[in-house]
Amino acid sequence: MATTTLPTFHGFGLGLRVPHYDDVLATKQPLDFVEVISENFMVDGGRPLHMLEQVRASYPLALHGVSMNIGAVDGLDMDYLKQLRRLADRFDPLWVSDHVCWTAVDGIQAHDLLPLPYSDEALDVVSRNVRVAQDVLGRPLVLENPSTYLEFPGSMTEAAFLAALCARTGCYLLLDVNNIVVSATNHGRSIDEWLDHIPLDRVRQIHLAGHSQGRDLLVDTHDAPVPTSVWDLYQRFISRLGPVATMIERDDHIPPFAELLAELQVARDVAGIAAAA
Amino acid sequence: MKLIDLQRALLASLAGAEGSIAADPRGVRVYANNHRGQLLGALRETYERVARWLGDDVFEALALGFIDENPSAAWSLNDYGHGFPDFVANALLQPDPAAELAWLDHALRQAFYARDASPLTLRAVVVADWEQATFTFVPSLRFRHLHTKAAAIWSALSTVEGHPAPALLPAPVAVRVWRSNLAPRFVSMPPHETACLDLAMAGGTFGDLCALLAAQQPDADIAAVAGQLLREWFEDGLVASVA
Repeated sequence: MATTTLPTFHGFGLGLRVPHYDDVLATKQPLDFVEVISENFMVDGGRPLHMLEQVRASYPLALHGVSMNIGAVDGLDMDYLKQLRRLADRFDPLWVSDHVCWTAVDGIQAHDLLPLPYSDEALDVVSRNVRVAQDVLGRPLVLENPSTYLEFPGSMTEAAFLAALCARTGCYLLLDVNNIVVSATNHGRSIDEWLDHIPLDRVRQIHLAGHSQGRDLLVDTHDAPVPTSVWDLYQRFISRLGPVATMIERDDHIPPFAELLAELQVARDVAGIAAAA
Repeated sequence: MKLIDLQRALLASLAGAEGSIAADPRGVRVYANNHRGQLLGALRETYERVARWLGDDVFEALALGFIDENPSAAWSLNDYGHGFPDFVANALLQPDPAAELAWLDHALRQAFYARDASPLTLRAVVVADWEQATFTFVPSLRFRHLHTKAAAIWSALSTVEGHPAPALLPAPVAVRVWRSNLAPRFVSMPPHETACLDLAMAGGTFGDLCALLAAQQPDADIAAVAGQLLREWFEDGLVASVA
């Protein structure tokens, strides 16, 4: 198995989106790393890869995917994995991450992060796929908890599922604090259960983001500043985790770069307070 | 329920098959909106000029019709909607230029992501026998004949000024699309360039191109016409290699 230990990396970064390329390239910004969406760069050529070369020359990089389909019952798309491997080999990222979800079945793509039941069968499927992905990629995977709007009958909690997945495969976790708040609120679940059961030693990165109130449920829209509920939970996690790579995601209503830097400073302050407590 | 059955049932629900899955309809609604929103967003992004030309309401109705008939089979949203130009052509009464605008939007998008290739400069070319020289073009290059004023309309849609009336052209005009310095571009071609590019892309030699020009323009200075064509192709960054 190709799984190895991920080197420790701490710092504060941003999810880099097109409107901010010029900002990060014009001058060295106070960012310890940037994260990009892998699929946006899994292309034959052209401007995206050209820009990423320049970004990578100045910043450590994390590759974050949305289409690995780690919950695929019929196994992973090997062409996708090989293309991702080429991207990772070219840009030498801190790590490669994706989500604990499924995104396609029978060759039809949902283009969304669809929920898995936290069942023994799903754990078997995902564990098998994670091992395959780690072998093809030649590096350990980092997997993120998605926001969910549906729950299916299962035999364990989401946190227990993730803990078992890490134990079985050696993968790491990207803890999306906003997604925990969204999912726990939508399903009436306890956030404490997350704090108590997540394997802290496997967490390599934290996502912070905003959400919005949909007609019936909280929706992970990434279109607003990080809300108080997410900052509070971040502080609780960081006080247990210690230093961990932390990043703010904004995918819609993207504000001026300076606003995101200011929000990232809040994350530094919150982490500092947690560390001092 | 087995995982595969759950996945098939949920995906059917997202595509609009009501009652496919016994699950909280509030959650199914969120996922269905996300699913269709992603596909609609991809079409809006690729076919941006078509959306401007048709207006939001007409474009959205067309796009949702396409989405209903065309589930996504590729993990990359960049690869969704290749068939949209044909769908538009079938859906709208001719001579609406929307279908050709869609082809142009799509070709420019493909050029944006096409494989990199360093174009040759004419000065760097060393050829022993031009008569037998053949050309390899940059991967982004393609061309097509347009029957409407779609090319002019596409350009005009990026300005606040008016656009040409959507009339048919007196005769079809070929437009070539390629990428230059990372930016997709297009230009309309005169008939003799179209014929020569078609021949050259099919493997014709420079001698073949000159013979074609001589047949088309018996009174012209063929060396001058062919030389001008070559200069334009090299200056535009179309030629990747000469053998």
